[in-house]
Amino acid sequence: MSLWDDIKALAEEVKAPLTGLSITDSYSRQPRVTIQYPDVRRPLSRRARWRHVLNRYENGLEKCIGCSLCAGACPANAIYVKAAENTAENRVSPGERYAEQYEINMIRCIFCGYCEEACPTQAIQLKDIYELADDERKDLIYTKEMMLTPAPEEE
Amino acid sequence: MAETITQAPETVNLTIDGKKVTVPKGTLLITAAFQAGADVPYFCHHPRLKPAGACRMCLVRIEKMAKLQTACTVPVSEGMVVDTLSPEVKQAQQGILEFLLINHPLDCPICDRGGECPLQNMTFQYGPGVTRFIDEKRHFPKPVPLNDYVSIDRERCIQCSRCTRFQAEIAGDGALAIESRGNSAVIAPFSLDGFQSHFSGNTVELCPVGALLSRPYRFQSRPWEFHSTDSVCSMCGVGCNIAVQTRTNQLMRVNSRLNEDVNEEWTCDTGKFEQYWVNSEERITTPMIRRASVLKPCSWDEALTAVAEAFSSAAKSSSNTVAGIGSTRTSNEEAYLFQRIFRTALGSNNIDHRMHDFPIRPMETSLAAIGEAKAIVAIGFDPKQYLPVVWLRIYKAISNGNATYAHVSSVDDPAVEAALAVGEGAILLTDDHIASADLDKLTKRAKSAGAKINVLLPDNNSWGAILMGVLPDRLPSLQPVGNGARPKFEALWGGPVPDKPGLATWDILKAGAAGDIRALYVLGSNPVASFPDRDLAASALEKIPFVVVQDLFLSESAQYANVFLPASSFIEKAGTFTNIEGRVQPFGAAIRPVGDSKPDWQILSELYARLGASAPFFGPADIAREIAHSADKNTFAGDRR
Ligand code: SF4
Ligand code: SF4
Ligand code: SF4
Ligand code: SF4
Repeated sequence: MSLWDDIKALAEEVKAPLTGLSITDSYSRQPRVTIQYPDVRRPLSRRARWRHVLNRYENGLEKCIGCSLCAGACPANAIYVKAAENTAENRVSPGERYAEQYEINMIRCIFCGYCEEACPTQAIQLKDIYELADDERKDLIYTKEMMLTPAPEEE
Repeated sequence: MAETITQAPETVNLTIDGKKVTVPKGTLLITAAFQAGADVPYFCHHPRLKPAGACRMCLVRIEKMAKLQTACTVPVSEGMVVDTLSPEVKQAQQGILEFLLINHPLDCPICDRGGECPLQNMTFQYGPGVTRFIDEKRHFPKPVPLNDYVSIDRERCIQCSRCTRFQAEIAGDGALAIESRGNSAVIAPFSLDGFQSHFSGNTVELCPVGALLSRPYRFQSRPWEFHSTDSVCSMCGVGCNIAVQTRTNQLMRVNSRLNEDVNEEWTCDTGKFEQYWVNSEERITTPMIRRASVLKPCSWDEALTAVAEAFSSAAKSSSNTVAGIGSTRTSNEEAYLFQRIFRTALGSNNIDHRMHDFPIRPMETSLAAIGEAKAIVAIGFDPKQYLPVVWLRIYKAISNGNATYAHVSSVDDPAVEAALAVGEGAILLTDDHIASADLDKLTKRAKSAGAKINVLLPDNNSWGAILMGVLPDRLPSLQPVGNGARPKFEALWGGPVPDKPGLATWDILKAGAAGDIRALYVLGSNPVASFPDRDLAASALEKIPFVVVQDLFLSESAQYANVFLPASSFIEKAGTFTNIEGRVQPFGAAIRPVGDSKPDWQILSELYARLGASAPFFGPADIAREIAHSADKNTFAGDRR
């Protein structure tokens, strides 16, 4: 092998990393796709389906009437509703019936949104609240108090 | 000889939707249509009620008739050609539903009937889908209580009159009526005191909408959420077949179940609404042992060991110093095991369940036969109060067969004489408080007249306790302890059985008060409250050094207990009850035992093991198998479905 051949081989060796670096360089000029979570958060689609909230009417009454239709529609059997009767002293929702206890087991929920679809009063909605991780199973059973939007006076 | 020719039942041939059917003469067209497989929607029709034609839902086209006819009121006739599918009929069905819904609130999501509502189903299947009615609907105050158990939501009522007809035709009290007419018609109690009936709960099941509602069940569950288990009512000796509906390990609702021989499809209000004690917060669900004169919670092992030691040491000194008082409410399996433990492990016949002496006499007719009687006299008790569903049979005889009925206090009443004069077909009903002398007298008179006597026992397993041998002088199947059947039981139970009759309840309590009993087992009964001489019962339990009470609640007798064993209710276990007719009926476990409580059979089985029995029983079916093996056929046959 001649000296010339050696020089050519050396040039190849030097060129390879430079080519690589130039690709890196070209990408470094493109717009970034990663974000600095949790300091920066990606905006979600309006129809994103994450954790549920239980809505209220403007006058503060709960929309949920404790009808259990959401629980009936849920394919994962994740919802438990225990209903009770509204009284003059304790009016929670319009009409006769309200949910005394309302629980969703978020480990079971598959975020299909059927509950939202079944609800006759639009009381339950899946919103963009996606930070649901926890290391305690019990804490993943969301209670009514955890999901209810704050009452107007509490805001 | 014309009258000897047996007549074939008269039949009628007709065509329904092109299908030929033959039915007995007098059949209603709707029944014939069902037989032909046609689907005729209806609300007010009910096979046990008289036709009303109130809801107009069952309109059908009958050839040669100008207008559509209600199938539930028209009897079939020869050659009738009926159409249930024509566009005209469809249009009528849609029209009727639109009309029924004009004033209907359609608040299905909060309606207790939603999910099992005939109006929902019919609207879904036959309804128009839209309404043209845009005006304000009729409004009434939402549910108004009618009595302790039933309330009415008048907005939802479709005036089908099933409820009023039930009260008038089946319950015989006419407690509900339609008030006003037309648009203002509402269902209201006939009496100013409200809905006075022992059978009001049946109207809740009959109502085809959510107008008549159960108050205890209100908003407790939706029909698709509970689990329904076949069971038998625990409240009286009739043994109505019920469905126990449970959710979150609690009783939600009791519905009736069909059994033509027992309760048809009815129950009384006690059965439907008074069994919520199973959910009671006051139930004791941990074993307790008396320490320094207070009952303190302890482990099962501790409690059972204490019981086993006390009983075996007392029995060792003399088997006459132990005694057991059983109950008329535990299952057959439990009653059987209880007496087996006393007779074999403790060698004692001191076992009884009676709170007073009464004649042990099976019913001479079936329950259903009461509905066909020609004359009925209830002597010394009111069937409506005591065994309510028996009253429904009595009223059936009154209304169908024009039977005479009287409710008298003494066997010498002229009404008894009048009934006996009827002879065959007369049925005398009495309860366990009748004096033996009176019963003997009555038996003689009834026998010569051809009448029947039924001695009705009160509790859900009164007969079971008797037939399982919870008696001081009888082994299972009413075999006297002294006679030839004993060796059979000795072989089966693997040990000697004492051949001398033991002490009856009253003698046990007397011996207890005199200091002759050292250990007493009170299983599911409450002598301090239910023995006629309460002072004697209290002083006996006070005096007896070791008393164990096995019950659901801290009863009066439990105040004297050294050990309290928490038992499970009948919906937490499986087993069988024997009703007043001697019919053995199975019931299933609907929920898990509440807290640390255990079914009576399990407590007894675990105790039996501690008393040195060789093979424990692992389930009620094990015990039932042994009973079926040992008892004679008549004791443990019946409805083992
Ligand atoms: S989103 Fe789907 S799985 Fe989750 S609770 Fe609702 S119905 Fe159930
Ligand atoms: S969230 Fe909606 S569907 Fe669920 S119980 Fe409440 S009102 Fe009914
Ligand atoms: S009665 Fe039936 S149709 Fe009427 S509100 Fe109740 S469930 Fe709905
Ligand atoms: S209350 Fe019910 S059963 Fe009675 S008439 Fe109205 S709809 Fe019929």
